[in-house]
Amino acid sequence: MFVYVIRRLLAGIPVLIGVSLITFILMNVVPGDPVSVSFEKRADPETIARIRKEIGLDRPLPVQYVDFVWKAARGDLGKSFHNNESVSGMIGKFFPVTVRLALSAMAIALLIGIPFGILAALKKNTIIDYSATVTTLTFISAPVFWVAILAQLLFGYKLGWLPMSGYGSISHMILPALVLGSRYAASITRYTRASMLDVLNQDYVRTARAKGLQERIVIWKHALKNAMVPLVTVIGLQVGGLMTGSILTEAVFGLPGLGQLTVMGLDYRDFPVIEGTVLFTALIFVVANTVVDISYSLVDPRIRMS
Amino acid sequence: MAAVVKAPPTSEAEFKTKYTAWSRLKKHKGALLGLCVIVALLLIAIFAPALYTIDPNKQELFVRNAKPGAPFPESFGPGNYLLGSDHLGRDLFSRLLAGSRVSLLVGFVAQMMVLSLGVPLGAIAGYYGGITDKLIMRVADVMFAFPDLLFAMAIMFALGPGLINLFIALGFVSWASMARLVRAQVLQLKERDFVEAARAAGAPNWWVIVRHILPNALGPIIVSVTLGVPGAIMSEASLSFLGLGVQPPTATWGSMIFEGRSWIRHAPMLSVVPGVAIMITVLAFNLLGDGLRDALDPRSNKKV
Repeated sequence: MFVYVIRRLLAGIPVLIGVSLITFILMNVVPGDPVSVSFEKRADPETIARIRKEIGLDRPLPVQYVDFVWKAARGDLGKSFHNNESVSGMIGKFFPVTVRLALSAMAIALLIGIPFGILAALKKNTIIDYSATVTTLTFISAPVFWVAILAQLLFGYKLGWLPMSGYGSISHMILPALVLGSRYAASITRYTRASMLDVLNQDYVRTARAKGLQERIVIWKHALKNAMVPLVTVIGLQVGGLMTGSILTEAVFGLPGLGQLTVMGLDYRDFPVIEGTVLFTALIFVVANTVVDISYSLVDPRIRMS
Repeated sequence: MAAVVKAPPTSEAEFKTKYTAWSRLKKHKGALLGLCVIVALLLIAIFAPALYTIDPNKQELFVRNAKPGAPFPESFGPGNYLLGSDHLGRDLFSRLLAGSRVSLLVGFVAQMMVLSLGVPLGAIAGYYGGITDKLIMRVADVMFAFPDLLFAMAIMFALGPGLINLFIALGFVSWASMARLVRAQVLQLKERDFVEAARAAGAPNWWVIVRHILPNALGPIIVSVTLGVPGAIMSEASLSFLGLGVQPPTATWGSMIFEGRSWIRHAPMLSVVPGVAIMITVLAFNLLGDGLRDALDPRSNKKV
């Protein structure tokens, strides 16, 4: 087990190096360079040359890359072009909001998705199953930012139950979490249903039934436990989706999260901010996937063998 | 008493109707519905210019946010705003039709990019193995480390807005999962006897891949493309919503929702209608994809 964990952690390192390289390349293939693109309208050529030198953009690209990685590894992601704040500091300020949003959305998704998925599987090919399928497909096909706007219109404007946008009290988080959560509830329902159906066809469930166990025990004790195993992976796979989902949700509701920071960076053409948030998000994603892989091997020892 | 030996009941025609993918797909009502909707959408997108009630980019600032059914201003000539007008007096109905062209074009071309990158790379990795395989799959791992939309955002930021750049960004973001899929298929198929036979007969490697292996991997590839189109459409809408897609004034469903957002209290149609269009399109492709998965791969009845 220990060896597996170490091996899995080490496997993340080349991926992170690749991620930093791609991020660096993307930010440096821009026609012109970051400084002239960002300051074009605000500064004369001499000032631009001076800023370039200050930030170290006059050095060869490989040197800049190594410098970038070395600093990033120590948590220094440079300073914002827009307000000269440290990018790591900004991420530290904005990230907790995204975490709160993502976690509450995930909790909502699991609370809704697992029971409905089980129900749909147990009542396979009935009206309950069909309506679950139609509802989940509809939710999966609707753009999350559009659902967010509709929710704003209905609950914020028409009914006036909740604030339309902003951040501060718990009531500001309810609508965003529900919007993002409902989308993932749909995915979780589908996966739970599929996983449950899979398990219900297994030999050991038939054996359990054959030896005369009550249906209740067969389902809750034998089937459900095993059906939950693949869900761990699904939850891990959703981390990336949750992050992109929260970028869009935050944009609609004006929540000061990582998504909002990225969008602000794009608006101001603030290279260090974009570079920093992209790198940071990818890091979170890699860590989350590693954690999921490891926990998966804890739940199901067969994984470690292969 | 002589035993009556009946001829096998399945003539070739009977066998075909019973077991081909098409006959299985025909039984899948959802998939058929999806297919019909997609055909209808394609026709609308192709013939959109003939269906426009007015040039979708024509402005008339005196009739901003007009109600559905309001008559066109004098500058437009005779006619009505079937679905109302937007904040620049443009006709929502015509813009909606114009948006279908962008969405479907992006959906299909992005998947072409995914195919042309993912299939060869996946096939090469799976067939040759060794260091080539390691190299390609490590790059794919890195691609997987970025959340899709964020990666597409970064690429669009670097390349600038525009349709061609959208194709590049969306193709580049999703080729890795296609490569993984094809590689897994190739790994399985290359051990089979018919591949062995082709190689023993002296067929060159590329011929074995193109003629013997890939045709047998077609099923999962088709399913993946069908389910990839709605993904690309959704990404395009999200990018346009964030202002990173196609340049204005081109109408796209995502940018229409973004523009309509500011007028949500007075003219909710402006953002509601394009969203419905996205939802119907994506739903149709998802339904067809699900049906195709069941039809092309009878072993897996997973409806995920």
